[in-house]
Amino acid sequence: MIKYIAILLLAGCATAVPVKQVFPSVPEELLKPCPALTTIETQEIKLSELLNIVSANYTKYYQCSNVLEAWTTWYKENKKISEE
Amino acid sequence: MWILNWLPDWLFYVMFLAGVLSLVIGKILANTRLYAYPAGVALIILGTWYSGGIAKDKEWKEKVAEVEAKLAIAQQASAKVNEKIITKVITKNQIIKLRGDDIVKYIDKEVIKYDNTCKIPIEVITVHNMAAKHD
Repeated sequence: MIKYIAILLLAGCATAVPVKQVFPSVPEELLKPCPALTTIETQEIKLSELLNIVSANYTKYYQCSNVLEAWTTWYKENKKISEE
Repeated sequence: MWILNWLPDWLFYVMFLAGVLSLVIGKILANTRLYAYPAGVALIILGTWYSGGIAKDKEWKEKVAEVEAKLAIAQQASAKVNEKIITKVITKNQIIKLRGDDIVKYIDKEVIKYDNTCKIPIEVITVHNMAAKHD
């Protein structure tokens, strides 16, 4: 009798935690890798063509830097939300 | 308390009352005491235990609901932040692209004049590619 009572009382210890915290989703824009920089594929190049490639590479850098900055904002904002 | 999830709450209150009733019967009818008393005590213990469990379970469920509500609010806030970030990234990247296009237009208009006078040595191309590939 006591054995059965103990089993029934111990059943109270089996409690499952039903709350599941979901990791905040990240915008797709931030998951794209930075593009590779353009190289010069010819042996000869004009000054204007060279500078166009250099300018295009700087554009890629600034766009990538922009995404990195967005990642920092995403982290700070989501940290603030999770701490509230 | 899993047992509370598949047994109705009233059953444990009835269990407690049955225990009390069992003690009363045992007191009135002397010949049933041998079984009525232990059964009564057992039923009262179980009834009291699970009644407490029901109250605690209710308390936990309220806490869970509170946490779930907080999580839902956090998810909504996170979604708003994501929306703001996406808009900012796309807008800023478009501005960077436009600025790049302006520079290209300037090169094609002004720098092009020096194409014939300024010859680019092969070493410049090599160094540029090394820097771009980071070799």
